[in-house]
Amino acid sequence: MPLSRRSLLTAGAVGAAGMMTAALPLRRLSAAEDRGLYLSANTGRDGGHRFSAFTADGTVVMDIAVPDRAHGCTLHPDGDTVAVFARRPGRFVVIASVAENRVLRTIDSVPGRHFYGHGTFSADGGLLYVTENAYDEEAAGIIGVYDATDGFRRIGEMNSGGIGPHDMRLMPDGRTLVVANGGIRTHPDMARVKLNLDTMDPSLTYLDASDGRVLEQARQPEALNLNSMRHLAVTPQGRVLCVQQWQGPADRTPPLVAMHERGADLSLLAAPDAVQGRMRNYCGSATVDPSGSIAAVSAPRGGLVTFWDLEAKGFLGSTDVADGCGVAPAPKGAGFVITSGAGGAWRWESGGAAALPAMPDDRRWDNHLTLRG
Amino acid sequence: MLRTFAAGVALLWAAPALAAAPDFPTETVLTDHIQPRHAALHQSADRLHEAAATLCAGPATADLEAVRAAYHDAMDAWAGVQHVTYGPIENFNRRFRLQFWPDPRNVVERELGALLREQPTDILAENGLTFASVAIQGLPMVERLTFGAEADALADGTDDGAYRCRLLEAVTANVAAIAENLETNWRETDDPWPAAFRDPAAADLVADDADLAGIVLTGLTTQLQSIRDQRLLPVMGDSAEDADPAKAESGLSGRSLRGIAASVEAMADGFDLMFAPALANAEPELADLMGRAFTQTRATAQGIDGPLGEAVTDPARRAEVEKLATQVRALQQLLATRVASALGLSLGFNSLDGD
Repeated sequence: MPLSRRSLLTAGAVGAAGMMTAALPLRRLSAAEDRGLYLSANTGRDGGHRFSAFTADGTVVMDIAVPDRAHGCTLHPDGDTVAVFARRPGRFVVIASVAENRVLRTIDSVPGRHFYGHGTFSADGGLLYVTENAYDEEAAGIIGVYDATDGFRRIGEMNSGGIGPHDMRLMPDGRTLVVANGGIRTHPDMARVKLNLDTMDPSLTYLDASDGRVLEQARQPEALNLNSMRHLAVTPQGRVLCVQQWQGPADRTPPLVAMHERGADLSLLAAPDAVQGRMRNYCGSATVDPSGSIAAVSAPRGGLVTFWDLEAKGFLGSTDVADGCGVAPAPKGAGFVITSGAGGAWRWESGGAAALPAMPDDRRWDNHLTLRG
Repeated sequence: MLRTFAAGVALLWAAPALAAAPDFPTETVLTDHIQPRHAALHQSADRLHEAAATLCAGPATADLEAVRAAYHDAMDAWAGVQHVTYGPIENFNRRFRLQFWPDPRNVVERELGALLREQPTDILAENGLTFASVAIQGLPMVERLTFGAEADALADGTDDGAYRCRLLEAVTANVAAIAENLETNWRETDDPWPAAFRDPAAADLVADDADLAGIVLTGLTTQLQSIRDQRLLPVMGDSAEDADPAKAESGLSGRSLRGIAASVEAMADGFDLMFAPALANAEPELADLMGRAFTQTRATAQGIDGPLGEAVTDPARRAEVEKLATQVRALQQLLATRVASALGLSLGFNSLDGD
C-alpha cells in the first residue's frame, strides 16, 4: 500500500470506496471545454486570508485579500460581482469584482449583529440577503437586507424563522428564500460555544423574499433535534438538498442528508452503515449537478465526498479526499470539482479523479466552492 | 520554517509509492494513554468535589487550601487530555463546560455576580448545571470562587458565603460528572471511539489506522496552536509595555505556565506512543529531533519563574516566554509538516471548522 494511503484522492481510491460509476450519467469534458470559474475562500501558507477564483485547470485568476477567514459566497446575476461572507461570527461582507480582481466595497455588520457566512442576491440583483445573528435578542435568526443599487445600504431585516440561520438560497421561482435554520444559539462573547443544545429546533424554512413571511417549514423527526441543518443546494426543479451536522453522541449515526420538495415531508437519506459511520456525523457542504439529479455532499471530518441520486433518493458512492470540503458541479454535467483544506483541487468524473494540474500548493481551501458557469 | 512547510507539502503530494506504510499502535495509545489520563481526570475531579464538600461542611481556612490544591491537580489532569480534541469531549459542549476559556469579556465573573445577587437554587440541584450557561459550569468558576478576591467568603459563615459554597459544591460535582462521562465513554466497548482505537480497520468511524493517526496528530497540532495563539501571544503583546497579564489563562491561580508544561508533557507521552516508533523507522533523525523538541519546550515552560502575567512584563523572564512561544510554534510546524509527510498523514482544516 502506498505511503500516503489516506492522503489523496486517486482513481484507485474511488474504486476502493465502492463508487458505482456505471450508475452515474456523467459526461466527459476536457479542461479546455470547461470555461467555468471556481470561487472559494482560502488561507495561505503565510496565514493570509483570501478569496480566489481558479479555472478548470487550477490556474488562479482572481486573488483578493479579505479581512479574516471567510466562508461562503454568492454571485450577482451580472456574473461578475461576488459577495464574500465572513466566517461565523465575522462582521464583514466583501463585495468584489471577479474580472477586475479587486474589492469594490466592504460591508460591516450593524451593532448587535454578526454574519453567519452565507447569503444570496435577489433574482434581479437589486438586493442582497445575508444570514445574521441578533445575539442579544430573543428573535435571534435574522436575514439582513441590503440595497445593492445604493452602496449596499442596509435597508431592513426579517426573521429567519428559527435560531442560527446558516446557508440560504434563492429558489428557482426567484421569489422565495430557503434558509437552513441550524437551531444553535451562539454569542460572540462566548467564542464558538453552542449555547442551547437542550432546546435545539432546526428547520428548513421558506420565506417570501419580498416581506419575510414564513411560507413553509420542514423539520426532521423530534428525535433528530440535535441534527443541525446547515448547508443547502437547490436543483433547477426546486428540490432542496439540506445537509446536517449531528451535535449528539457519536454512538448514533443519524441520516445527514435530507431532500425536500415544497409541500412534502423531508426525505432523510442515509448511506450504507460503513460510509455513514465514516462521515463522522458532519457534512461540510453540498452541491447538485446542472441537471439536478446528482448531488455531491462533503464530509471533511471523515475525509469523504459522497454522491447521491436525487431521483431515486439513494446513495451512489463516495470517494476519499482528506479534509475535502468544497464541492461544485463542473459545467454541462461533467462531474464535480472538489477542494481540500489540506490544499489541492480535483475534478471527479465517471472515469475517476484527477488533480487540477495548475493548482498552486500554497493554500488551504475553505468550506465552500462555487461555480460560475 | 516556510521552506520546511513547502518541502513537506511537496513530499506529501509526491506520495512516494514504494515505502511501506507505517503501522500505528492505536490500541496501546488507548489503553496506556487516553484511558489512564481520563481516569486521572475523573479521580482528580472527584477529589476536588470531596474537598469542596469538606470545606463547605465546616468552613476553615485550611480546607480552602485543600480545595485549591485539588483544583491544581484537576487542572493538571485536564491539561493532560486537552490534546485529545476528538471523541467524547466533542459531545454536549463538554470541552467548554469543563473550561469556558478564553473569556475576554469576563463572562464568568459577570455571571457569578448575577448568581450571587439572585441566588437561584435550581442550578444547585443534582444535574442542575447541565443545561446552565457553560460559563458557570466548570473549572474557571471553581477558580473564581476559590482564588478570587472574595474567596475567603467561602469560609466566613455568612449567607453570601453559604451560597458561594453551595455553588462550589454544585460546580465541582458537575465537573466530576463530566469527567466521569468522559472516562466511561473511553472505556465502553461499544462506543465508536475506543472501538476505532482497538481496531481501526474494522471501525465505522475511520478507514484505517493511518486515518486515526491523522486525527490524533491533528489533536496535537491544534493544542500546540492554542497554547501559542491563545495562551501565550495575547498575554505577551508586542513588548513588555504592551503585555496584557489579564489575558493569562488561569491567571487568578497563577498556573498558566504550569498548565502549558503539563500539556506539553502529555503530548510528548502521546507522541512517543503513537508516532515515535514509526518515525524512528522512517526518519530516525527526525525522531530524535522531535524527542529533543518536546523535552526542551517542556523544560522552558517549567523553567520560567512566577506566573505568566508577571513574567511577560519582566524583561529577563520575558525573553524566556518568547523562547517558549517560538519553541511551541516550531514543535507545531514540525508535526504539521515534517512528521505528517514522513508518515503520510494529513491534518484537518475544514474538518475542524465547525460550520
